[in-house]
Amino acid sequence: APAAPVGGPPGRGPMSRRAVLALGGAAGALGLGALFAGRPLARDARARLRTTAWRPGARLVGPGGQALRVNSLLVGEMVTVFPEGGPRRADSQVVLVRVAAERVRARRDRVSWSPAGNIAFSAVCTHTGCPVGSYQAEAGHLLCPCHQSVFDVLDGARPLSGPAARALPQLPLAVDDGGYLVAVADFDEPVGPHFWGRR
Amino acid sequence: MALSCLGVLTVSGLYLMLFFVPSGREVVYSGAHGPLRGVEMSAAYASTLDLSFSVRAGLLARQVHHWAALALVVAVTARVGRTFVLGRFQRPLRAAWAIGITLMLLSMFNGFLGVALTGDAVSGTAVRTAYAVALSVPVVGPALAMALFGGELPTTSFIGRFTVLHVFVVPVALAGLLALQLRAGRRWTPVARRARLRARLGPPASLLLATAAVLVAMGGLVEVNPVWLHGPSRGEWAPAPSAQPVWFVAWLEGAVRLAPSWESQVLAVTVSGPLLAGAILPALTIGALYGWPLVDTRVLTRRPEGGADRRRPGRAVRAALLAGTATFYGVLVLAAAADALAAGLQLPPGRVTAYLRVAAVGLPVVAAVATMVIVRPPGPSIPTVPPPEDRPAA
Repeated sequence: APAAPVGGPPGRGPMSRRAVLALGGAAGALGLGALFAGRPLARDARARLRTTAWRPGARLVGPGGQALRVNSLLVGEMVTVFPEGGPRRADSQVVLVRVAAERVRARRDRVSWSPAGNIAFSAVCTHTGCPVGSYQAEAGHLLCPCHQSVFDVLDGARPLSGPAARALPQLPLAVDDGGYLVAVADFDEPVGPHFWGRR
Repeated sequence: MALSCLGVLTVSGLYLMLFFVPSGREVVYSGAHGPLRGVEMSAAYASTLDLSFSVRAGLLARQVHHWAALALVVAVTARVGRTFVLGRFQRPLRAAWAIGITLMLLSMFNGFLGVALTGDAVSGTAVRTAYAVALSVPVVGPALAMALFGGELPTTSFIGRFTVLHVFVVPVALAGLLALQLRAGRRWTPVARRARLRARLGPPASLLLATAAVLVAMGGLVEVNPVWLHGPSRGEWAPAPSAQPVWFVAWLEGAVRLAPSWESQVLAVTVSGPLLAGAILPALTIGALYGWPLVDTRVLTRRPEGGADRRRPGRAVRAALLAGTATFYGVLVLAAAADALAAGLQLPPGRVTAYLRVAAVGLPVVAAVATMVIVRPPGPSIPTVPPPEDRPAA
């Protein structure tokens, strides 16, 4: 092998010390700059990921744009809903299912979240964010079409099989004076796939 | 062949660019395709539909473009495979090896970008998965996802960014690297072998033209990526069984499905399935490909200084590794069709995923051990591997 690269002074490596220092300094300065520029960007990104369009008292609207009442769905039915009046943001899509109220195995602090067996979960899969779609009413299973995760709506949308690791966040529901289903609040955790800084 | 594919891609791509609208603006479709009339969709998808149904030779250009992209990936991957099997990745060919890997990765990446640009429901699923993987990256995840895709999904701002990458940045890099590789290949291929190749394949121009002709014929005759089938990409709906856009992302898609359903803290980093399958696995794969010459020299070959038999000691190990690795990625590709498989076998999808997880871990080991047994290291006196110059070209 040749002792030195063409043009370089003999006896030195392929890169002089000065060049290494200059390169290192430039890379460091760039990194520092990126850190300063990137931090607010990251904070902003996380803030956007944490919230959805659901607000306290927002009615649930179905695909036709009609607000849903407590008896709009029969037991065994499922529909994808959005908050009334808001934009149809994908992170705000919710699956509303109606099951027989006595089959719901709710956590003690969530018993009131499913009036008359109407349960709502974020439709955004906790694996990679596909909309969970097909619903098997007898078993109470929701299936994600993309990677076949199965969630149990009777048990807090716990993942039963497939690659999803986390339950679908539940939207707390109530019934307003007009008999319409409304959200009590936004989700109490971020919806969709995991991201850095989620907790 | 890669050169010819790139030529065909450039010509068909230029034609497509005349009509493609790289915009996520919402429009109501009123074009020639009846079933989707009145549906809200992105301008990009609407223009892709117009290319398929009303632009003269638009469908031909689209399908030629798609087939040429697939063939390009095949060509550069086959070249990497041949280089690997022949062991032609040591000095002075290390740079050529790295160029080959880069070509392969870039052509796959550009294929993914191209699919994402069409804006149909199938591409929507691919984009969504890529977005989730970007989100999962430690420290920079959310910022990275927002920067790449231009907002929280389903944003359509990624279309502009992806277009710039797809039609300018990556193709220029591809062309430059291909030129480098061809020049390097000329310099490093022995003259005799070059002459033999030419005698067998005819002058290079005829190979170029024949490849182009086959690609155009395929584009005209064989339907590929029917974007009109599933409708536009929408936030609240995904097609099932989920279709695969292109074969070379299937291993990633399979990995995303088979990755363990973890979301656990490992040293302050949350390791999730998408991170493992979509970021760590590809990073390891790419690292292994680039780093292979070093591993091969340092670990498998005992006498790196040379001699005709210098590649013999690690021969069985190398074959076993290759078999095991190929089996692993084979299972991943199979897993990308897990839902279709489950429907075909009439099994619950959860059980198919479980079986495939076992297969992904177990089968590569079986394959590697079996190869080890079949390819035992030969005795020291039998020269089984001739030096590459004496062998017929693969």
